Amino acid sequence: MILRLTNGTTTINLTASSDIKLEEGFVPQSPSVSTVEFTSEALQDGGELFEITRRNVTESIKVTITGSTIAAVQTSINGVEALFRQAEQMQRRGLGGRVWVEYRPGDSGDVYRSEILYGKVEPSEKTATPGYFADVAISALIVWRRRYYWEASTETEISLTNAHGTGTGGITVYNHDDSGHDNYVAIAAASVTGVLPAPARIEITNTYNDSHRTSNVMIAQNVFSYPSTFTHVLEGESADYIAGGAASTANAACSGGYLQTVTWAGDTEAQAIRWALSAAMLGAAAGNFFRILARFTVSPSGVRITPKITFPSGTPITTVAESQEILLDSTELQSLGVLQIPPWLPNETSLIAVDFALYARKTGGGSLYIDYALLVPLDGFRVLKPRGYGLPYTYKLIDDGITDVCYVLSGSSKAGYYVGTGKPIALWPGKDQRLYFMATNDVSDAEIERTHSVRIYYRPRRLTL
Amino acid sequence: MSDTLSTRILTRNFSDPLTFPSVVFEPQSYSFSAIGGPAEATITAYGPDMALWELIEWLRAPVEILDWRQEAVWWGFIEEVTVRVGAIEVGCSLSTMSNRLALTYSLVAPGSTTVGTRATTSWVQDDDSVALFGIKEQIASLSGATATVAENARDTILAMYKYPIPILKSSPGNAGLSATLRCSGWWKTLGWQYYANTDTDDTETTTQIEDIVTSEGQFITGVDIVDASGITSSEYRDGDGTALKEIEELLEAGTTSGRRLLATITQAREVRVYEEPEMTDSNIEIYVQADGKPVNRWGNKLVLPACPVAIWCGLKDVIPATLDVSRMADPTKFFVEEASFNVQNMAWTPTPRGVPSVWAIGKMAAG
Repeated sequence: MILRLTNGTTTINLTASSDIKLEEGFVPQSPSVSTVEFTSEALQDGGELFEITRRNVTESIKVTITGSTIAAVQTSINGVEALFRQAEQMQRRGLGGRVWVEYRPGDSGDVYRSEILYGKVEPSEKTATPGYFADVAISALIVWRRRYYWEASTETEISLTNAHGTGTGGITVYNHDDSGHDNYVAIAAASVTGVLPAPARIEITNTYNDSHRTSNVMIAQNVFSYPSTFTHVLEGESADYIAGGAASTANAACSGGYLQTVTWAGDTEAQAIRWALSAAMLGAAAGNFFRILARFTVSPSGVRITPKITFPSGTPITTVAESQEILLDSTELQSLGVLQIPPWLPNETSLIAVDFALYARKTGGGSLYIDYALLVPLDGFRVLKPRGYGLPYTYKLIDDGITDVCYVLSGSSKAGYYVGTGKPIALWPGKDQRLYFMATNDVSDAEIERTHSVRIYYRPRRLTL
Repeated sequence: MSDTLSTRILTRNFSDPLTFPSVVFEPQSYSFSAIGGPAEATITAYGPDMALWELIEWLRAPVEILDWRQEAVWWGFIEEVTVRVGAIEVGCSLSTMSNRLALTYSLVAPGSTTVGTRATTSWVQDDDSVALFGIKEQIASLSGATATVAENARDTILAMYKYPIPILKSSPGNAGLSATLRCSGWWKTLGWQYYANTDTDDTETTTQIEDIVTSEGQFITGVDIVDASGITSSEYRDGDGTALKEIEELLEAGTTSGRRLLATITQAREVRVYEEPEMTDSNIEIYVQADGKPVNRWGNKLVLPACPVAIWCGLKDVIPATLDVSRMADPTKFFVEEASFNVQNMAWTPTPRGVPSVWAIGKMAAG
């Protein structure tokens, strides 16, 4: 068995060291669970569990601490207390470095760690009895409160797959998705072990040699919408309805090689463009929430867009869902809101097709130049925005969900001017999943040929060992 | 506490996100109104004492609360910060500040015993405070003064209130280390400036609203009149009312359809004016069930943190069909005039129009 306290520099063995020995066996406790339950007082049976969360764990071990002198024994105790004090300082001020308890139940296998939040050493009454203090020994209880989970003590790089490669060491993602280009990385179910979703350290290297720097980066995660089946790209030229009826035009700077222009007249809201969502698409979507993104090659500034789901497919008689109306600005890649797809009968299959449409409004009518729309699932969603500078060519953007920091790496030097919003991306054990990457540059363009290299690391997480 | 809501604070010029590396923000509650959109929000901040004190420097900073979909569920600005360290509480609020002032007075000329007509001093402002926080006007008043006295009083009041005034409180025996951010929606800032218009043209009321917002909405990016009122009135205003007061009176006048005008402020800080939706079955967006659980029109679980407001709600299976409602207002439908969301309980509390709210929808029990 391995049981030790460490801050990465100082390690104190709590089992069979010369100074500290376990008096009794140690088995980590499982965390207790808190629930938030939906109740309806005395009139109805049962209830619904709305939220389930786990509490940090308080544990203790009984040890005997020996030494050549009393002072040596006290030094051993002080060493443990010093690590606990460092853990408290980390909680209180975020400074000083983390402290972990590391554990392995057997003689081989992976070592896991759990961050210590605070702790104490309590000498027991036995210390006053013969065989202890006078004989230079102390019996004590070492008590600590740690995080509710165990994570692997070493990071593992995840094997990624897309059209541009398979494995570790970095996989290229493009800034669009069409035949021959992927803007996602796929992670196989077997690649992620553990029990709990584990935060990922995502390393994004700007591999696009251009004077314009990468600026905003969005990362979306698909776990529960059948990642290998769900089609997240709706090309403008593939739409089933185009306001104005214009044919798509060839454009090498657009996804799929084509650009679609839509034109409408009048002051009132009009359907601008519409795609059918088939039964297969709806089944794959499974009632998840999706952020709608769209790329416009000409500034759509001043146009108001409302994404809608209409029914029946091909004839928009009824609006069954809509997001908030958005006033577009001049940026190329814009978020148009969030929709639940399908808006009814989540987790069902064999659904009748519906349409996904963008309705536009502008005084006097207007035009939109649409490259594509994206439906990105929100099983995880993270937005990384720089305060000003952005990510130059060859620089790495590290979104470390394990330590909850986000920074830019140039060589081995770090700068913290990126701000991440949204929960860190967490990898789900035993589930196929995809991470999609969408980026804009420092002049708010979203060139399709912009590339990044992605590496992902994680530490498997467990509740018990 | 739900870990699904996050907080984003921006620089005062809306350009960049602010970082507070050692501080954890926990939204506690927020509310919306059918008139104005986002109303109030309360956020608790935890962290080292030095980092918490820094928050006081960010009054009027824009704030957004985001749900797990990274959708903004509330937006506004920091109006008040209270820092609690041990038994001492220090608060600082923009509500105590006025950085642009005029004073009305009844003129008593030297040598006269007669109180004359009302006069108003010129406006003065503190440029430093205005540059930092924006313009926040006040019209003070004084009775029976000369012009010199009035101007002196004006200058004295400005000197006292040009910056937010800290408030100190001591609670011996208490211990704590946290800060509370009380935030208000951008609609409230329309009450920061007075509106005057010397024109007397007969103008459509929604056009007047647009003009007032354009003139005094210093943090507003635009106006979207979705439904014109069809009603006209004189556009003259004497300047004694704030832009907010003038706008809300015009909204109340409604449209030629006999329905109110509502207003909201979008996340992009655009004022959107639209007619209240008609009460029809197809306009019901949320159903409340007998078990207290709200669902959308398709029976799906509602995203409660979105805190829906200015919509029609229906009671799904509460009132039996045997009840004759033909001679009363339909009790199965109500319009959500205001709504609040409590993050701790994940409870959405709608306030029906004209009725104080007595219940929380979806009561949660912690286990």
